[in-house]
Amino acid sequence: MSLLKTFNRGGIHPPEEKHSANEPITYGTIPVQLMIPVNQHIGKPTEVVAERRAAVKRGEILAKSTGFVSSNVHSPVDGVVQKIVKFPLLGGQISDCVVIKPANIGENFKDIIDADTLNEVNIEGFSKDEIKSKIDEAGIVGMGGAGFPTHVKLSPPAEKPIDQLIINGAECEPYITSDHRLMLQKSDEMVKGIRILQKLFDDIPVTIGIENNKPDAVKSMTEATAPYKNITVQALQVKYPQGGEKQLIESITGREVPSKGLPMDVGVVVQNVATVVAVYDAFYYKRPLTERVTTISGNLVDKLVNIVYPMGTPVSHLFEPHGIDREKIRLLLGGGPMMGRTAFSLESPIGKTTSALLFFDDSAYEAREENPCIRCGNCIDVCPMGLPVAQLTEIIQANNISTSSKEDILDCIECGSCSYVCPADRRLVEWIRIGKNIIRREK
Amino acid sequence: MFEILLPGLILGGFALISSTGLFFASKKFYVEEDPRIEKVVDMLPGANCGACGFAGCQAYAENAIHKMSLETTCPVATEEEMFQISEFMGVDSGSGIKMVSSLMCNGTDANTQHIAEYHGIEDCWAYTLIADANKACAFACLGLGSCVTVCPFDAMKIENSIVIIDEEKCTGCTLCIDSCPKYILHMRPAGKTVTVTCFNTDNGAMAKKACNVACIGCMKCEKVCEDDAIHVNDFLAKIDYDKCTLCEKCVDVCPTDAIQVMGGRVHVAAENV
Repeated sequence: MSLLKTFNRGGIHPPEEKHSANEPITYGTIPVQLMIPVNQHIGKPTEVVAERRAAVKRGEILAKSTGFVSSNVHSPVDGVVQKIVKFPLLGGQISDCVVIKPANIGENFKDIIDADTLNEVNIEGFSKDEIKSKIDEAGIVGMGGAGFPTHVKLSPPAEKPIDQLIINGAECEPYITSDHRLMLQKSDEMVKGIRILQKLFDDIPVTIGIENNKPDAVKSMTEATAPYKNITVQALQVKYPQGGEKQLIESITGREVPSKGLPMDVGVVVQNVATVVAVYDAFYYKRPLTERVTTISGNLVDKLVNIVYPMGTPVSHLFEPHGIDREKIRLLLGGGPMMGRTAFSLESPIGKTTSALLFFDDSAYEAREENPCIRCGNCIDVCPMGLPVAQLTEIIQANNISTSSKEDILDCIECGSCSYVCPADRRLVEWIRIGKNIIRREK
Repeated sequence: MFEILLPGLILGGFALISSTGLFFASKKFYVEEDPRIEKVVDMLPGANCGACGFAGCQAYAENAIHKMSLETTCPVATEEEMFQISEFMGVDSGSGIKMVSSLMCNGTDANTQHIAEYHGIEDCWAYTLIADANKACAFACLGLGSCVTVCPFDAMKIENSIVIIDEEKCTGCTLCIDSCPKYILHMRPAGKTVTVTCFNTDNGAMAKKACNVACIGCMKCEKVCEDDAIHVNDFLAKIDYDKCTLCEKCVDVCPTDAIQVMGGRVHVAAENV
């Protein structure tokens, strides 16, 4: 038995395919046109404040948050707003996008990032509310994939005391290496970011959870956190979905988040490593969240990279620099292969939560028929939430959702482990998502 | 002989006692049920669809007799059937105009393009969990048949990736209206066959780019209508069926064929004739 910590129930181990792990973070060129989605978070939609034909500066607000659970969107470059259009995002949903013509087309984005000045910041001088409002203003959202506004996660109600902060560096999805590279190259920045978050909760202990297939990241983070006693690094067993919030909490603290509960119910706050770096940038560079590291991989890509593009770069801009043959693309995934979404348009923009873009040709794609359940029980064995998946899908198919199965359906984290192991190729996650939709509609 | 008589007598005695008990009980606890309810249930079409808002035909009949009114009509019953029931009950039949379901889209394979391949569950709601649209037009019929599944009268089918509604079979039960995630199924009076087959509220240029037969909001129909029955709002024409007289002038004038006469002739754009 492995001595590494992990969660108890279920889990799978898909091929890791992290071919781009040794590629240092590079910076891309600025495209002819940026298409910046105004809604890149979960919560209330934003209000567009950018005006047509108006000049915008880097870091200027394009869309304003309209409430507590909402998030600002800023311009990544200097430029001119051309128009506001509706366009499908990588996730498939159609959203308003602000189209900007950048001033320095073709320039390397690194030059623009380097132009930001580094300020010496005394974190002790900030009050808790100031820290939260600064994170709110910078438009920081959870960069692990869900895009939940970070300042909301950092504001638990007073009756739920927080005694543990977890930094999620598990990166359990195949192919993605953007967080891995951040932990190697920006470990010091990350520790400074962690110190800011720690200040919010009166120096509570912090654990950085990293899957053990990244020993170099574990080493680099251990070195960077050495001066601080209450920041520790925890190597975790390689098992999908180790990076799932509830699974990570169970692995590290042994606490189980109750059904329908949030991490704050067991006194934990979880933040992704990329989010922590964004917090650091917001304080030390006064830089709002306008770019992120994206892994570009897949069997169609000649040169795999971990690259920073300004938010709003259309996918089609990537074809030439990375040697991707547009004609051969059969499948484009925004995010990893387990939880990512297939994209609809090759013009869709990169957003705050695009951790990876995977390009595949025909050889990687196989259309399969959905067959009847053979009652092997594999899906139940691998479900990290311990749900009777096969039964739930049958209940949903028959449209006969009872109160008890409703609770189970809403507990699903949609990690896709069940669909991955199903020998009958049943679309288990898809059915459960339909079930969630039915329950939501009934309300 | 006695061995066989004794059990016979005992059982017979028990039967006599319990039947007397049951007789008095049934007299004492008799519930008077209106015999008319049963007759009304017999007269109803018996689809048990619940479209009237009650739990079924029985509940509908009970309510009708109880209130002695037919204000809520059975949407499935024909005018004749409703008339029969009203004759029987001696009340006015409700204002029962037969409504049918009507698709506000003509985004067939020929008119608009599919933007993606889909290999998932054949259900419109399943599709909307992945993306908002599968055709170039974001408002278009997904053509995966959630309404076909839900229709109890076999009145719908998918053809050329849009829904075709059989007006003869459609009873106007409205079950399909809620089953559509794109909200493009609407009810209209059965006889009023002139329909705007588009739901695209984008401006003209964008709508035309997305679909050959989109309503571009050109206002020609509004100008040509003599009955003030058609109005353009948000680049989309809408017909007021209370005023429409089926003159079909709007159908002739529409430059993109976005107004069609359903269930009859298929119209060709004015300039192509």
